[in-house]
Amino acid sequence: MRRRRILAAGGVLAGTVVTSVASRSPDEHDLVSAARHPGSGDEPETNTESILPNTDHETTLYEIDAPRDGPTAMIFGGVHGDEYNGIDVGHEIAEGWYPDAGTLAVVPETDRVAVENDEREGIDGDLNRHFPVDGDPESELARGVWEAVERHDPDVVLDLHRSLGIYGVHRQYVGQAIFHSSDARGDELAAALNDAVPWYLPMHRFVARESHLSGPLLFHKAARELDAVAYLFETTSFLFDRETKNEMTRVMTAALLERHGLLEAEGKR
Amino acid sequence: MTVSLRRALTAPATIATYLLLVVPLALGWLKTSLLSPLALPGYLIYVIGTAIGNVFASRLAFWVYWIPFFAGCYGVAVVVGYGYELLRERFLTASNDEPRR
Ligand SMILES: [Zn+2]
Repeated sequence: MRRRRILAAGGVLAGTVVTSVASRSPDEHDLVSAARHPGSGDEPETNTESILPNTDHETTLYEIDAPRDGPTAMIFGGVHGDEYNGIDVGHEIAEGWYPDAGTLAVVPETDRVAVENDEREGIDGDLNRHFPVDGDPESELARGVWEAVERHDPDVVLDLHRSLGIYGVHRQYVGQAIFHSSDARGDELAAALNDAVPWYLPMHRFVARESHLSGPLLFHKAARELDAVAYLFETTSFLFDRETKNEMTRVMTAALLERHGLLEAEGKR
Repeated sequence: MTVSLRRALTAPATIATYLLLVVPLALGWLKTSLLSPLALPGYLIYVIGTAIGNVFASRLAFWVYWIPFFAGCYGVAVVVGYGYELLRERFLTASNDEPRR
């Protein structure tokens, strides 16, 4: 009798495990698939260029030009070399995302040495602390990256990151958050992302926070000096595997491109 | 009309509660897409546990918290099992007290 009851309890547990964390609202799912499918009309044109060619830091920037005019967005992955979501999704974008308007520039492995070593920091330390308020970028890599940013003069900048814990729950971590400049669509994007977070993981809901922009971070400098609408995105490793983090990153990126006029939802094409 | 500790430790309600707290979250740890609404109670215990632990040991990796989580969930399960057995005992005693017809 006892054994049978225990088995029954186990069976109930096993039987109900069917839902998926990566399941999204239809809207945001549409945005990711819209990004992956070329719209009608001409195909976008992709060009590549090198940042810091013939140095240890040499890394590729992919520029995808949509058939229609529009804003320029720059996306960075791998500013921290062990944060795979930005690197994985950066490569996916370079290989098969199709903006409907404007120009999409993506650097999947911004600190390539750090990426290759599978470490947060590269040769000169933490790249995302090399963009001080007063003065020039503080390392060779930071100068190379900043030159590319100035050359492309983006309207929107998105820097993709990953935290280990949860913002507001684990003191020193900032997971599942969007930090942004004052003119950004942070709350809307957080709401869009939260459609992808299941109700039964309430602590994993995204928060949007306006940043004071006075720090040495790449997105701070882009907002300060180029007046770009700038975002820093953080998903979390806390209970989330690589695929789930990547999906959060994809949804964020596609939703951002749509909000800033580079992408149209599938139905509106 | 008491419940022995030994009975509370192994009562079916104890074991069922333990499985409910631990299994759905552990599945999600293996693969996030295996998380389901059943994981919510374990999820809350785990998140609160890591939040408290994080205040005192901010550099401790989160996987370490699975050990106190497993232990803590068993503690919760024993309390639930004890309560359940106590209620059952009372109910049985009450029905035995009824006059036979
Ligand atoms: Zn980072």
